[in-house]
Amino acid sequence: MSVSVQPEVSGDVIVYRRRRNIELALLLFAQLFGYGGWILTHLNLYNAVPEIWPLVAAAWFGVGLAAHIAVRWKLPYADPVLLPSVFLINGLGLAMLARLDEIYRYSDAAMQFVWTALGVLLFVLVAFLLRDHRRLQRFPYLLFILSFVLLVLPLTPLGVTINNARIWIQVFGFSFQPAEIAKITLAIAFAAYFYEKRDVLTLAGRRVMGVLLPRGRDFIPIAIMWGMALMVMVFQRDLGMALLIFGLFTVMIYIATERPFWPVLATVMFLIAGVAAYFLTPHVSRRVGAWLDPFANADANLQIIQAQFGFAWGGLFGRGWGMGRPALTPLPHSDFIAGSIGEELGVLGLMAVIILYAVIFSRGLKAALLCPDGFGKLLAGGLSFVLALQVFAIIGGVTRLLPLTGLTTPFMSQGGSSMVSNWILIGILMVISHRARMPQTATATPTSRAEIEDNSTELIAR
Amino acid sequence: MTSVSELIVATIKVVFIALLWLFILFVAMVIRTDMFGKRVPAASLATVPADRGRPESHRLSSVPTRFAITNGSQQGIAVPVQPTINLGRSADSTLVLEDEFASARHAQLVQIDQDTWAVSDLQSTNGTFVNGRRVGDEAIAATVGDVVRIGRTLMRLEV
Repeated sequence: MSVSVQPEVSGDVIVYRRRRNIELALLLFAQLFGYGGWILTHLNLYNAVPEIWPLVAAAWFGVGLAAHIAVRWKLPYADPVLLPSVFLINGLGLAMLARLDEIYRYSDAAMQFVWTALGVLLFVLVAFLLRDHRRLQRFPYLLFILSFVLLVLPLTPLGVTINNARIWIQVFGFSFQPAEIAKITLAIAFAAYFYEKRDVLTLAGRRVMGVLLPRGRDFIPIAIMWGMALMVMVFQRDLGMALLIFGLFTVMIYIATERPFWPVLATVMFLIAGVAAYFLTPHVSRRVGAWLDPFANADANLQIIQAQFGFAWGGLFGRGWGMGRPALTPLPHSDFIAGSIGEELGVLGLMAVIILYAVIFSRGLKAALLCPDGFGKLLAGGLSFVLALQVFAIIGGVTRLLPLTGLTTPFMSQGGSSMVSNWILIGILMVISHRARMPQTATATPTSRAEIEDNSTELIAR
Repeated sequence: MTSVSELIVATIKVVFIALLWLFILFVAMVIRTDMFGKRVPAASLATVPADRGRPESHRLSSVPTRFAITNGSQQGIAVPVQPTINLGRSADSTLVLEDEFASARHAQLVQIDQDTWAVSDLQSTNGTFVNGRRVGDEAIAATVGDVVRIGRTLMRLEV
């Protein structure tokens, strides 16, 4: 122990204000953008406000208010900017889907709104049921198995192949992407596992040429994870999810051990797998070709080419709601929704969206820094990182910074599983943020009587 | 006429994006004012009493039922009381402390009578404190409500 001076427990403590009124003001402002985008689309296209405007306003602001009340009641100390930022992005996504409905004559937006409401409901449930994130620490191995099952599920007869990727399951007519849920369960499992093993991973092992090599048996989990990512990449042809899972694993082991060895090793392993996939599978080499030289095969790479033309046509300020031609790009409502935003709101609008994602990421990391317990730190860090990596991979793919991976744009892309799981993710982040920011002495013991009876003989964590 | 409506559309479009950035500015301001909490005296915060607010009629006596961490990174964790409670970082402790100022085998609580435990320090590096008094060679008796401190962790016996 290098520190020899013991800290005084001083009479002063740092407390954070609750700031729920500021959150409410920001939330109402944020929700105006989605609603305003929808109204503007109709004004620009038909020169008239849609007749159902009071109904939509009531439903949309009602959902926001419900989330706010749940936070005010159960998570009064949670971060004030997380929820408004998420609602702004979600609203823009809904408005863009409603705008695309005007071209396709679908009702994607209505369905997506139902999914949003369901996501917010699950967010509220997380706020009510998960009062302390340390409860999640108890069953890492069970969650590992659950995540594995979720990842493998699309390969069973339940799975269906859509757009050449086998990542969906179909139950009772609903298709669902189980890997989106696995993303969260894996983050919890990693956090619990690494929190337990961090000393072993940091201290045990042999030193070879100045690098501390972990013991062989500590290599086994990373090898298993590498195998799982590879399996997803090869059998489900889902490059994006493989990147996400492996990135999550790498970052969490790095946060837990603080050893640069792990990210270096993981990068090398991922490159090896990627290069092998490039030469051995057709879909990876096609993606890389579309990234580096799309015009070599303009017919096959139509989507990415059209997206770039869309960005160019949008320019700095965009064409305005309803004034662009986003439907010229295939899949403008799911994979390429960032392209649709770029065309109609311009580079300035897309940059604003990316900055809002960055705000969510940074507030997640702030919660990790403030959180007093190591498990919460790891979990908040991992969850915010996985969200950021997903945004980076898909928007990077759409803007041709990276090869395109078929990931969803969180809170924007059309699709229920992504919406629901990302709302759960935000719920867990808010719980951690609430526990991290609340004044400690006020929470010395559980408050309700039922809880006292439940927990009186229990060890919450070791 | 068309040029006027085009102008209106263009204005609304720019205003929409300007408002988006105004929102980001507001978020930045909120984050800035939120940067470093507020320093207040600990005494001003509401604390939960050691009997955990049970109504008088339900209170059996002053017999402790659990030994709980009330402040520090493991806040909220508790073990049921035992005749001997070992505290420290080593895994075989009754209550495993995750405090960088705690020793592997830091302190021990031994039951004297029904509601009193004697706190003794096991030659720890940074010492054990009962109600702010350092435990020396002699053990100090503690009962419900007395605060035991090891490093940054505060603990107490609770009803």
